[in-house]
Amino acid sequence: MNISTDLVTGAAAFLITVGIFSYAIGDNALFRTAAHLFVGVSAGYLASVAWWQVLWPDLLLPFLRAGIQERAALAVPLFGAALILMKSSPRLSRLGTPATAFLAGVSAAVVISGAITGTLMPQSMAAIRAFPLTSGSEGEGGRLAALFQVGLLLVGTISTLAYFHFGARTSVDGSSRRPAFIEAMAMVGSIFIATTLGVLFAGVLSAAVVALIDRIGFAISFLTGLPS
Amino acid sequence: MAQMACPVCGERNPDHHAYCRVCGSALHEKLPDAPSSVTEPAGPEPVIPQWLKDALAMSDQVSGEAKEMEGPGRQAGPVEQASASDRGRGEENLDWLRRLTQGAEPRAGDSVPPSPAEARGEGQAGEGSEAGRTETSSDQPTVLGKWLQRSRQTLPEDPASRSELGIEDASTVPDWIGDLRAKGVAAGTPESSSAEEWRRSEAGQAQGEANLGAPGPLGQDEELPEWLVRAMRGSEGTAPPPQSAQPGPASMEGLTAGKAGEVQESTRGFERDEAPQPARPLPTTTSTIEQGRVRREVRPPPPQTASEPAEDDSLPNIATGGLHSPEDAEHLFIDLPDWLSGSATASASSLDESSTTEPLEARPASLPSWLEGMRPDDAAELRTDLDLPTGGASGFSARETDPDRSSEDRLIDLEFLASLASGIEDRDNFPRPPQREAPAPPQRSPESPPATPVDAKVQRTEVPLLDQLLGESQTAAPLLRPRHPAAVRPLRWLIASALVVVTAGMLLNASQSPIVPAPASEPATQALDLLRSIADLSPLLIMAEYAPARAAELEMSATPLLQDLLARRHPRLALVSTSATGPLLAERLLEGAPAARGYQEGIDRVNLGYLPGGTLGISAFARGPLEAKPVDLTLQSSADAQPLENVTALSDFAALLLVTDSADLARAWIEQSTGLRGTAVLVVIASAQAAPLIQPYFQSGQIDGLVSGMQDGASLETRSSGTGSAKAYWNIYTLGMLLSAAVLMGAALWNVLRALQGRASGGAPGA
Amino acid sequence: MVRVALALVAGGAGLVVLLGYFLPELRAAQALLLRWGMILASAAVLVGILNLASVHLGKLRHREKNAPYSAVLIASLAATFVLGLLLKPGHPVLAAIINAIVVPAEGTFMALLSISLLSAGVRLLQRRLDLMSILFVASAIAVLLSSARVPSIETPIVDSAAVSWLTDVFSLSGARGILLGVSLGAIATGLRVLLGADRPYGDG
Repeated sequence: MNISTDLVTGAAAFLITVGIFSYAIGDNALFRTAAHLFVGVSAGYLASVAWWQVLWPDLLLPFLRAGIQERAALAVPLFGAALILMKSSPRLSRLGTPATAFLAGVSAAVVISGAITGTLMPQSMAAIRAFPLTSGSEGEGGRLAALFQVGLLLVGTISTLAYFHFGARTSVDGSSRRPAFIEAMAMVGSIFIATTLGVLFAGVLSAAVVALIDRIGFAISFLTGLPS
Repeated sequence: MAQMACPVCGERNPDHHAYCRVCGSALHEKLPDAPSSVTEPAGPEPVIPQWLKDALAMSDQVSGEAKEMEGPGRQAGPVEQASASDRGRGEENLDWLRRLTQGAEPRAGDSVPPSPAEARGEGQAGEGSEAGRTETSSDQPTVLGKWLQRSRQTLPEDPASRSELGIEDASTVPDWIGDLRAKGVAAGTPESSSAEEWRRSEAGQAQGEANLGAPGPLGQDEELPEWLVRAMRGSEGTAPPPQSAQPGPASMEGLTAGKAGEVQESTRGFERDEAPQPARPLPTTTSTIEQGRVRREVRPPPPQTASEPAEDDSLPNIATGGLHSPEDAEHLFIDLPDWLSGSATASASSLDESSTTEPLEARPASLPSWLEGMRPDDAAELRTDLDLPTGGASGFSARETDPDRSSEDRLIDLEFLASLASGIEDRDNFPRPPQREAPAPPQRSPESPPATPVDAKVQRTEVPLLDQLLGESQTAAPLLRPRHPAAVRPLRWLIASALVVVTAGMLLNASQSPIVPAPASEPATQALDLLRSIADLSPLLIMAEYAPARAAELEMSATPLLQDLLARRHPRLALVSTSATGPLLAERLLEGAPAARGYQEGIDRVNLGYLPGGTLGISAFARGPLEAKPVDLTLQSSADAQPLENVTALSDFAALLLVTDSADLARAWIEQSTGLRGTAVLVVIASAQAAPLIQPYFQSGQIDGLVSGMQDGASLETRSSGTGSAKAYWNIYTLGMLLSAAVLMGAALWNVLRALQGRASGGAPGA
Repeated sequence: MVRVALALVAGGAGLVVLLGYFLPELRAAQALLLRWGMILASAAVLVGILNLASVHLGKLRHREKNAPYSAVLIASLAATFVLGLLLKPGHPVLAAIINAIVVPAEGTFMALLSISLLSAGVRLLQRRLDLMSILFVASAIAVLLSSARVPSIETPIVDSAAVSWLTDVFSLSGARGILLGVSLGAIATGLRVLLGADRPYGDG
């Protein structure tokens, strides 16, 4: 009997889908088996990708083929990778700390530079530039409407930032409170945050509904296509 | 290291030690015979030497002060006892001295000058505290040698008492003598060597001589022990380090005058479990204190009994020790028994009247110089370095030099010394060198003080806060429980069935009329227009930054745009992803666009594969795509890939198409490519869950287009007249949205009504 | 001493990378450090997978309650890894495995999420009825209705203009504030790591 690969992969996908869907009823063996299978395959694939995509072509192969000078340059990441791998052993874990420290430092620097040049400054400038300072830039609805909209944007941005301000002082009665004007702005900011989170919730729900539609559609198409 | 047991207390000691580090008893049966090379003392002096008079006067003064501070019910400590006995016997002692100087035999009934052991038992045998000692020869014992012998014979026979006094037996040299010698009061001076000789002669005489001749006259300077010489000279400062080769107590090795740099020597002298202690009054009760991880036990010295010979009140009072400087006291406290190490150079004024035990306070003035630098201000730094708990004093710097010591040993020493340096508030404590063999965790008794000394101010301010925090942490926050927990599962079943039934029904009912999606949003329209404007066959980078979970939605959203672009412009494609499954998902994405089916791997498109490191990898790729990804998914060189011809930087791409379900990844790509994209168009195709957080970047102009979820996908598909699954699923999608909204609205109305009803009826709203 | 050395490693490497953004002379060093970081990150991925395997191997060894599931995980991990080593990640067999197991599994998990989200939304106002929760639910309903259509009725239920105010003003300002807050926090955290005040890598 010639079993096509599509049938095999389709059947596997169907079983996985049904198994994980069964969690809607309750935790069961089929769900756990499907979940563990998924985790195992994902981890195994990730390990092979890390080997073939980075460690072998960018580290080991150049080290084996390169000259002495290039080997000396590659010895550092090779040694660092070996130290990182020691993190998997409880006894040798401390040896890998310098390598993780290096990673942490480099990542921190990258994040800092990106946050400053990529978000903090451009977004702040955008909040300022949004104001229709010249005639004709307000677009539809007139200048007042544009000003109101942009003003509301600015108020929302600042009050949202104030909501996340956690600097507080100890009052006479021993309790810690934020300053009054911060509290007032935080209350306004909570309105904007609640609205934003509601929009995000709707987005996640819509994405989930799409996935539901896709999975049910696949199941129906597999079952209806099975006879053929 | 070989060890031996102490014959008195049984403690294990290193083999090379001569004295037990716990009880101070000699570990070996005999000390090596000391050559006697003492000279005949000079003729008797007709008068009492001035130093002796000074010592007696000091003794009287201190005794008087101690008595004044004695409160009701306070037990007299050995210091006071010694002082009292000193005063009482002062006159008597002068008689024997006069007789000594006149060459007469001591009469029966005359008070015999106290032995060095007795002096130690009373507290501290300070410099100048013994009178009439002189070196003697084995052939012609001097006066002092003879009375020393006599005093030894009158020592208590009880081994416990003898061990308490630090004396193993009559054949051993008293510790305090050896201490004084090894401390090198006058090392390098003729007096030093003569003192050693005297000591040796004493040891030799102690072994066999039974009779003592008449005490001879006091010796000349060169025949007197160092401590005596110093007392005569007054406060002449510190003595040079000892140069004795005499194998005395091991604890005496390397002891020097107190300097900070010589701490190591001093501590080594204690065999790593003792430390020089400042002068402190002796306790009168046994107390067990907790200090750090070491339990220290203090035993008071035995009270004077009738069997003990009367002390020689020619000896200076122990409270003062006949000391003239803190350095003097420092030398005397080394390697003394515990109960002896508390004698104070200036402790009388620190006695607590209300305390029933001897107060313990290391006054700043009495700190040895090597401890002087370690004030509580250094504690925080030290404890930070050592990760020790804060709020206490510190001991030595963590830069203690002995590399052989384990960190635990150092910690024990440091904590012990911390107690000395800080000034312990609780006056019931009396530190004792830690017992190294049992570094047990602190075990507190109800009355015991804190394991580590804490600054009083810190205690007052921070302890209440700590109590409050502990109290808050112990009060469990009430868990919010759903009102009807049993109804949660049926609710989920109901919702699941509704969704599945509606979806399946719509899927199976293909005859429904399609719903036209709403017009695409402005960002999506702008994205489509910009991508249509790129040049033909220009390189296009596609970043597939989404998880397989949202593959369906993003494929529906991206396919119309991609299809339109590939069909119109036939760009060269490069695929990359920071997730392991991203390259495969990118391939899936292309498979959904019919226009991409003509693309050949290596010619029209190249899959650069996995980009590790997250933001770090994105930054590296933005600064050098080919350097960051030297090989593609098939392990071929990226630089040689035809689709990447003339592409060396990010700005060489005509357009960047970011397909993502994560606002964080979108932010990372936008941030790291800022200033590096040049004129390349950046369009983001985002899942509906990430689009709201990416929208500010479009509004600020950092991205050129934004396609948000299935709605924009379907709208673009309608506008571009392309093929895709978005329109096919659009009906079901809109119905699903309607159903979801209806469920939420119904639940919200229901709960609001219930809350209003509850308020109207006076119940708790919304509970 | 070790802690100081570790802080110097982190701070020194970060400083070189940071200065590389401003000093052209350090660009080469910056690129080198970034490549090294990518290699170490891949090694860290392997460490995570080794840890996963060791945990489940431990469950197998001790015959714990869910040991059979751990056996499934270990077996699938080993098989996929060996196949990946032999065939390389771009091979069609591996692509088929990913398409047959990983994509359906994650998609189904996402589908289950729709049920959970809806049930959570239903119970939200039941547990907490205040202005914030009402605003949250109201804005979610408005966005959902903007995409919703009644069958056979072309007219949208909610006017898109009204929803655009919700998404383009309120949601946009809130999102911008969140982004600014996130970036400020990232800057503060990154500086703390570079200065050694925070040591997420441990003390050695």
